[in-house]
Amino acid sequence: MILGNRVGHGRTGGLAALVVPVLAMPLLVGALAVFVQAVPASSRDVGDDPRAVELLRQSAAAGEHVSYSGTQYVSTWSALTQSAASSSAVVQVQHAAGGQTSIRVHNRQSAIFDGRTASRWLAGEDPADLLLGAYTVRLAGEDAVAGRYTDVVVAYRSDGSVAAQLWLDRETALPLRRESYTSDGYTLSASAFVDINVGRPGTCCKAGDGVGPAATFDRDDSMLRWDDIDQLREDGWHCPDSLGEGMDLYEARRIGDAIQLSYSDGVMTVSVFEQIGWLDPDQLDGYDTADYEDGVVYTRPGPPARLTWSSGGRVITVVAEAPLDSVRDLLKNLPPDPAATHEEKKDGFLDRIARGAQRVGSWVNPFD
Amino acid sequence: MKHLDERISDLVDDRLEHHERDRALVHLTVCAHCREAVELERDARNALRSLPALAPSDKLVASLMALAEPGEPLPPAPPASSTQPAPVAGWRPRDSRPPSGPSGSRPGGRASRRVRAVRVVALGMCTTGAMLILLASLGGTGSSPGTPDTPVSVVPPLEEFTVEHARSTGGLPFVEPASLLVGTVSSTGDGW
Repeated sequence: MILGNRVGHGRTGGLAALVVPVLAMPLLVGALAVFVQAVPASSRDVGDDPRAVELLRQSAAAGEHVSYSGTQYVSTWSALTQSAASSSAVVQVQHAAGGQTSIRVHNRQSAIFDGRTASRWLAGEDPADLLLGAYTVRLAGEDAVAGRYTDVVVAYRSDGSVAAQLWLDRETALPLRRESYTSDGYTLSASAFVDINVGRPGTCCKAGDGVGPAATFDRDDSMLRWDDIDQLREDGWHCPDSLGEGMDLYEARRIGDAIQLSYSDGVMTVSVFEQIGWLDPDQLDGYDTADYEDGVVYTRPGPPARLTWSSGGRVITVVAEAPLDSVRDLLKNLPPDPAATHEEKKDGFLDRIARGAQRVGSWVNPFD
Repeated sequence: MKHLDERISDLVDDRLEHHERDRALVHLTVCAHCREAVELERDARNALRSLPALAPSDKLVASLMALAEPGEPLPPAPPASSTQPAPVAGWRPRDSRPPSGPSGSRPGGRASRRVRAVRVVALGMCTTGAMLILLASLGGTGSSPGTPDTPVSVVPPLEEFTVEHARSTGGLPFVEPASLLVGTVSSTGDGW
């Protein structure tokens, strides 16, 4: 009995010695897997790193009181990831504290940016708010860029993927290196200073040296305020406040017969242009086409990626330096017209007569 | 400034006062719809002006000439007028006034009907043409341009929009100045 018990215990102990490891190993592996997956999740669950927030706010304001000049490489890839299209260049950058930024490509001045002070900013007080509102930011370590010490700040999406990394100069908080990614890790853009001289703006921003005509555009007259945007909406323009995913409206302008709506999440940018009318496919050269539901979207890979389509008497054109997920809501709310609709709207004389007859008919039809 | 609407015709026909014309022209520089309406109006006017002159047929000319010839055979006299004295002259000039009595009682009624028929046909053709032009005008830009039911063909100025996009990103501190590379460096890729 005792033996039996002992034997029995001995058998029980032997079985347990076999079963426990068999059960414990998968449990242990599972726990490890959960723990490993929880690491990036924890980085977003705990919220923003206060030190990273402070650095980003300092960096957003650095251009107001720091002058610099230097050489920077810039690379960008198309948001139409199937295209694998990219552009890159080495540019000369000069910035005067609180003033303009001049960028030269191949010794040719290609752009002068006025900075936020010349804009009618629609998205809060601080430009850093866009980034902080859209992403969770963490301080990831330190690194060296162009011979200067930097702090590395990482911006995470809500799904835990990395949206951007910023290398911020420890002395001036200037962003010396930047990279942005899609949620699946595809690189959208990258830039870094090869060399930089802080406090030496040099001869910055002399107009007329190869600057494009748009650089002299009178911004103040074209800028729209929220009151203007409300009026445009009453007149039938779309003008959404946000494209979703933290992509908020920060500037709106009138350009000729078009309305430009500029959206950003602090890292990515999308411009939406609305015009009255419809697209004539016969006049669109050099475009690819993509089907969306029953309609057609005309695309150019860029970069930046550009999409255009007709929707209910409007022509929507998108210039995107952002994953195309950010355009999804726009496409949903303003779906492309079917291609047949374009054919029906050809502007021949007989078509015009037919439309005129329909209009007159609608005037006398009491049920219309 | 509101759309030109009914002033478009006055502008095209040069019937506006000097200052009104200036204001209208300024408006045209910023309003594509009114520009198209003006173009349409001008096209219609030019189309009407360019219509070839109508050449009457030889038969019609001969008939008209015969009306003026003396000795034209008179139509048979109606029974009611058989007791009336014969006319002093064998003929008298035709006038274009409408007959005061029954058509059968008027000499030369057949030719008169022919003239009237020609006039009716010509008037009908003019009216139909005017109606078609009016309908085409209504079916073009319409009287209230800018509404979604009056679309115009648009080709987005893509390069200009791309430059404007790059410009709008200039005030963002953490955004790459990548759009300005468009047109300045060559891109690589296979397209989409």
